[in-house]
Amino acid sequence: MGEVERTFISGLKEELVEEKVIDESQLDPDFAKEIKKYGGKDVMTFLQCGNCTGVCPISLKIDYKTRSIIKYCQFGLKKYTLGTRWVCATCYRCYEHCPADINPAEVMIALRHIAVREGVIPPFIKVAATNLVRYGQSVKPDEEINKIRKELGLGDIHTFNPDFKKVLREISVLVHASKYDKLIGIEDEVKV
Amino acid sequence: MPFPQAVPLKYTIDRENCLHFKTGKCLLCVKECTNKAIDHKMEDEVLDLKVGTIIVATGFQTYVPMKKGVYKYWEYENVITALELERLLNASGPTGGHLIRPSDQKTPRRVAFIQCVGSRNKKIDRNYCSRVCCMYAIKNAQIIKEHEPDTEITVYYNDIRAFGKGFEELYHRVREEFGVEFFRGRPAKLSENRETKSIMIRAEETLLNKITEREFDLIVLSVGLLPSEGSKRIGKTLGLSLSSDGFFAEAHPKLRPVDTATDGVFLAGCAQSPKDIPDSVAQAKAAASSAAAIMFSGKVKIEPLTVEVDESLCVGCGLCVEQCPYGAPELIQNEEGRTRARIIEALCHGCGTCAASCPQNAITAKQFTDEQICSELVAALSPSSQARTNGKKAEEGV
Ligand SMILES: Cc1cc2nc3c(=O)[nH]c(=O)nc-3n(C[C@H](O)[C@H](O)[C@H](O)COP(=O)(O)OP(=O)(O)OC[C@H]3O[C@@H](n4cnc5c(N)ncnc54)[C@H](O)[C@@H]3O)c2cc1C
Ligand code: SF4
Repeated sequence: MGEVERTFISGLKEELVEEKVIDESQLDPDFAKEIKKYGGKDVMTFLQCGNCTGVCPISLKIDYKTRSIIKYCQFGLKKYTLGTRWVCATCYRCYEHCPADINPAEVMIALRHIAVREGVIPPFIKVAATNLVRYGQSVKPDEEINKIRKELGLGDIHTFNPDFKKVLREISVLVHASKYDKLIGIEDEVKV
Repeated sequence: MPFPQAVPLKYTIDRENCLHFKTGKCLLCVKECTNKAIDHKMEDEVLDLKVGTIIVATGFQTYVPMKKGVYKYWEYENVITALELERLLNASGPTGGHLIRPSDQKTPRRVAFIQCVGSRNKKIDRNYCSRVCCMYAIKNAQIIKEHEPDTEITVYYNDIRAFGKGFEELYHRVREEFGVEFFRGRPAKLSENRETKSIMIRAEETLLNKITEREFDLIVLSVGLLPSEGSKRIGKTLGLSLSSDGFFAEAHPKLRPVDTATDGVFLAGCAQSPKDIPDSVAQAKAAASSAAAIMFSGKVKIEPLTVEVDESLCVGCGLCVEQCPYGAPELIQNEEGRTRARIIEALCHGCGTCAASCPQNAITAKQFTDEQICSELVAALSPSSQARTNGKKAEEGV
């Protein structure tokens, strides 16, 4: 596993070792419908021509093949699709080239929704999601950067602004109401 | 002779270079021709012909790759279309059948075919398969191999459609006997080597799950078939409808594949849908015999379902003439000199468009009078029939 892959999928409890034989019990016949529900187009009309893999800037670097992930989706092999699609940069190049007019990037986004709901969340996503609740942004605010901002005549990072407390509270309400906190396992942190 | 396969295979005068047209003199050919077949005074003529039936066989045009497309047809010299390859491989073509590539006129050692260019692509609204490009690519691969056995040929395909008689066998043969390689994947990127003018293709070999980059001397695009240029105009003139793909629509896809919605007009060949020569010939013969059958019997059978005009109500507004898809109504002067509509019964299909649109209610469809339709409605909406439908619905659990 290369450096980039390690960063992106580290800590995922996934059996990425492929089975020798796949039997019916591992197939989810409604998987295509589920993907549609979360905003992906109909993967069943995908041609499997491989154009998306060929144009994907990520596919060239690491072992991530857009086309085969969609093939797993068509086939209903949910388990194989819940890991590496976090590497998709949603640059939409695959969509631009797709002769079947499918948007593989949106399928990847739908797969992320599904994965999170299944509790398959890579640590770095959990960190970013928690930061959003704590600081109102997905990157942890840094005192050093705030200092540089001041030297440049820029205002405080909004997290350090006392008025921002109100916004953070609003975020908490939204996060709690949408059960986002429960999904990523930070319900203890969210005070409503 | 314009070119050796010209149809009809007859000599024509090259007006631009003929001495007679340039100087008004010469006419040597007229003196020499024993059959007196040459007439320099002939002009183009527009003829009005009265015909009994029409066969539309206006064929197709090939897809022209996009100006800014991925396959760089307009940018790289050594990307050509299959039609251009056909000319190069033709014994009477510009190179006498010898394959060369445009940039340096040398024989290419590595040739790639890219399939489904302009076909099976929802993005450009061409959802259909052009049906002939798989087989013509296979045929041309074989011809290249026969001429230059050392050429390496790779066919980038999505699916190979070898469905006709002997086609699968030919597909087998080019692999077994000629060693043509078939690569399952749609090329994602082409880039040219500035010096050698050879072209690198990047594509995923979908059966291997691997991205590959390989270089070729010549790229041939297997372009698809589009409806011929004047299809819309001809369709309008003859009252023919077009299918969603833009080709002429047949009357029934299974049972009436050569007929159209307009009586006496038939379809043949690629005008109806992409097809190869054997299928075009078969359809052409079917169209010809369908046309001949009508013409030789001298009579046409029509359905008795037509409409009639009540002359006392008609005001001769002419709306029906505009509306009728079959050209059945016409405006005439009656004995009192008033303009009235009259139905040419032989043309009427009884569709009722005119009856529904007539502002004077002057037209009645013979088998669908207002009384008949009203009685049907009354019966359908009567309590007893309602009860029956409800009972049925209850049974079905609706
Ligand atoms: C590159 C290539 C290679 C092919 N190789 C093969 C092969 O090896 N074997 C095979 O079986 N098939 C092959 N085909 C398919 C073959 O070309 C078609 O099946 C065949 O040409 C169809 O014949 P058609 O008469 O229907 O149409 P066309 O050949 O297109 O003929 C239509 C004619 O109508 C004329 N026309 C159009 N509009 C009008 C108008 N308004 N008024 C008057 N005239 C008009 C056109 O000028 C044209 O001459 C190939 C196709 C391509 C593109
Ligand atoms: S015949 Fe073959 S190359 Fe042509 S559109 Fe159909 S599948 Fe593609």
